[in-house]
Amino acid sequence: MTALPETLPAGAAPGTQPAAGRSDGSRFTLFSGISLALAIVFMLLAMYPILSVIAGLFFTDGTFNPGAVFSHVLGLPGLWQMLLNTLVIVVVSGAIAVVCGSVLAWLVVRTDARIRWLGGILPLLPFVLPALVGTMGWAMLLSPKTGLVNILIRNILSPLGVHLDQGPLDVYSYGGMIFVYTIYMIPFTFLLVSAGLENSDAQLEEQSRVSGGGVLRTLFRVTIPSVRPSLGAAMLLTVFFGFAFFAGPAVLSTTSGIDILSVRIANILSFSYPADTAGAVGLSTFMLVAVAIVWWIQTRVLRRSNYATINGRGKATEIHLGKLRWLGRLVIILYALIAVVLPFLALLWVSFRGFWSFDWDFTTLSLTQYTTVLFGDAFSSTALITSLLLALLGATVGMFVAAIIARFVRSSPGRVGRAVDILIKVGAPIPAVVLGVGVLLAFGGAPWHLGGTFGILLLAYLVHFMPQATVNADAAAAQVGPQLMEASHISGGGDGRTFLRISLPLMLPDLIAGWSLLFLWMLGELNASIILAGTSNPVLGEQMYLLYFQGYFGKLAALAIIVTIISVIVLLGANLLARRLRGGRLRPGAV
Amino acid sequence: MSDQLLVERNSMAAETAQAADAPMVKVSNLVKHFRRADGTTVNAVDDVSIEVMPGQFTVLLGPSGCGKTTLLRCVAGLEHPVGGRVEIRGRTVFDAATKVNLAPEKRGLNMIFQSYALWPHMTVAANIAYPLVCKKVKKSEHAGRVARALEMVGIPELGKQYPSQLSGGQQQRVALARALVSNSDLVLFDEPLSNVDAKVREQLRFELLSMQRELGFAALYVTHDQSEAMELAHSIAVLEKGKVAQSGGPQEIYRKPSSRYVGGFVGTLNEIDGTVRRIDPDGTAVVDTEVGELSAGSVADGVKQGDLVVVSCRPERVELNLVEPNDIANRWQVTVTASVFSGSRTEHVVTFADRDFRLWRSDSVLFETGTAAWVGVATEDLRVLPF
Repeated sequence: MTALPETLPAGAAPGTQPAAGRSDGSRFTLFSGISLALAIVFMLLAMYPILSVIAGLFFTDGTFNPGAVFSHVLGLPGLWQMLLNTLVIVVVSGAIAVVCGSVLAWLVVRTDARIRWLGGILPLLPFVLPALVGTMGWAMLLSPKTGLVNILIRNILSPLGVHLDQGPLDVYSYGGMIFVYTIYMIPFTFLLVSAGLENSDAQLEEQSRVSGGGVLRTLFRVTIPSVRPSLGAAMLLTVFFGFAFFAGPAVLSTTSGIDILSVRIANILSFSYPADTAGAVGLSTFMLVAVAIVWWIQTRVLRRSNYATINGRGKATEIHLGKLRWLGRLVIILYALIAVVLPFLALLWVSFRGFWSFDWDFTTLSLTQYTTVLFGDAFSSTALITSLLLALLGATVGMFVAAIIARFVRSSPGRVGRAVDILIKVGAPIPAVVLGVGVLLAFGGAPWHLGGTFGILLLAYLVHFMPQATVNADAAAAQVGPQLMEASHISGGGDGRTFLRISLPLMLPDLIAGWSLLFLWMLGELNASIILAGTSNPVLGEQMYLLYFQGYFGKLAALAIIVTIISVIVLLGANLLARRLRGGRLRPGAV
Repeated sequence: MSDQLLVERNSMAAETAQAADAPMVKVSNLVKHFRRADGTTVNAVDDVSIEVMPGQFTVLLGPSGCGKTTLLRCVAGLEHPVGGRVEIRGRTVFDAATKVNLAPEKRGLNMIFQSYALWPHMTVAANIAYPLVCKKVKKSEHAGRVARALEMVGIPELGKQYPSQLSGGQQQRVALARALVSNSDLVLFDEPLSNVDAKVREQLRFELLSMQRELGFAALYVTHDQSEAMELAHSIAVLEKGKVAQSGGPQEIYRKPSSRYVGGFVGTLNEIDGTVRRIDPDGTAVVDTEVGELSAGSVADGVKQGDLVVVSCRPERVELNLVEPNDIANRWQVTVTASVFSGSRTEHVVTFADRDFRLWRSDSVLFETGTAAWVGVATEDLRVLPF
């Protein structure tokens, strides 16, 4: 943000020349100048770190030496095994997540097994219990010796004559890793496939049923082919997400000995001395290449799949599953249990018990860990406050900027609007870990010297989440018909007044909902933080990560529960507030 | 309406009195095109020139897609034309040649949108006060002026409501109050009555008419409803594919259309093909047709002797008799094929030489299908149009 005044005159030059009569017909105003400037600033903030990473590939200590980094990276121990691990786990989890997410989507969208309130919040579950916390919860449930589920299974098996010292389940394995990856991929696949189902013409299915096709025949011959583009997009998105996924493998990778790309990047930068910047840069390149390939395929697939959403009308009568209905409901509930309820209960138990033990001793439960985390342990309480401040500031600034840009893009159909839209989304495919490395390279040293500061964290968060924030803000802007803004101009209101008095208040309900998601992402951010946060500015994600590996499970669990409670309150509060704001008026002026 | 508002209006009218014969809005050679998805361009407004005089009610009339709304939005500054000029109160607000393009808020006009565009997050009173806030009118005046505007549109009690709590007709009145509160002498209307039901529409149309005549603002009004245009307008511009097909007073447009398109759009038109034998110096013409020689009282511009033409007349100007009407210049034999009573009038369809004529009579005499009869049309009621 500090670069704003410098970029304004150079990049946008508002008022140099009235652009009347230009072929795209847009009028150049101060407002469009500011929007364009903001977009350029954010594009630069996203591109500069990436260019730093790429520059780091070719320059070592200021001299051009492209061979050094490559030979160093290729010489890293276990490089190919690590890349293979990552690829296999990502692809297998992705495939499972597409199947599970599609089943869930079909159950929720098309059948009478849907549970209305649960269907709506299903995709939000991973925000309530962030991946870091959830994975730790599952580690507590499924670790081979002390995992609660394992103890439970052994207790059941032992009267039957089967005696085991450990297991039978092991979260620190390929299976365990794939399980965790899958849990956090399912919301994406669920969202994409249910959107595809809602957009596909339900009458096609009804025609099949009327023509004598049964439920299953209809499902395989009509429904699945009609959402094939969504399935393809979902598969790609899981790969995309999987390569960048850090929180889950960060918890499991070390103990299991299964090395993962994202974890290795963070480790050689933050947890080894001296920090291996060159290695991190080289590995980041692998990730960038993987992500770029997926991004390229995805844009091609999505472009070709336009035809699939032409017939967006006709709500299908829901399919009656008969007795299977309860099985369907069980599947939906099972996912909620796995994603949130079970790990949450494990953490809750550990937080009250004080340490990782499942001995069912209810007499020693206490709130000690909570008071320690909040008042005793300086690092934890500082991390909580820092993260809350970062999330509050970051989400508010981010959403406000996103709202300006979204409004501008919607109201200028010309080339300038399109350019702004593209610029602001340039950073979207950059994995947080890579962005963290880049931001550190770009702003950590001279001339900025932001390393370890609050500012570098805020900057990284804003850059990383801005594309998503603009997507949310655009959904908000789409709710407000253009004539409402035009009426304000006609009444004598300029761009600024129109934005503040008309657009912003009308977008507010949806902006608040978007704000709450942004807040939660920033509150629990781990990937970039682990690289950027210094000891003077500990943040929640990093602090929980450290507590876990230092073995302070009681403190960790207490902190995790506090974060979860804050998340639920913010999410519910924001949605209630948004609903109340919307309720005052029946329709938000959709023209 | 209150006297005070009238005084304000009159004083404003006095200020602009010196410009009374200069146009309020002058559009010259305006061009605006849209790019289709396939890359071709369409001229939505194609070299259009119109004028709106102070205090006059001017209607842009045409079917959907004729460019009338685009033209209105160009005047408002909401669309950006690629060619031509727009002047408001003698001041250039758009000029493609000199790259002048004033923002809508700087053009000093008001507009009523098809959807009313009331801001749902503001009360009715706040909606109406908004133009006053923008124009930096003293805050102490707001309440009084909002109240007077509400009273003027007949909903003095609704100030504290939100737009979503109002009926369509009431919302329309709020939009009107918002447009009138700042005493602008120019108001644009974009099909404002198309979203309310027929009864309310008639009532609002009547009120709008008396309000405009009383306050004396200039109005530019877009509609596709020809009876709405006839009732409201001092002058009408009929648009066809982005061009002005004809402009003039309602009576002129109806009685003396310049083409079959205009004549057919503003009302029902009966047509007979023919060839012009001669055009007399007094403007009447003799046309050879399949029912013989017809004498027409007026001829559209551009029609010459020997041209293939259409002789046209309005359904209410045709006589229908069982015996030959010897006192009417043009008369021929027909067969009645339908005869229907429709309340305020009876409607008949007659056939001759494979051609249908529609006739409206104010009496309630019905004819049996197949009845042989005579039609008669006076010379002054026949008009010759280009084929």
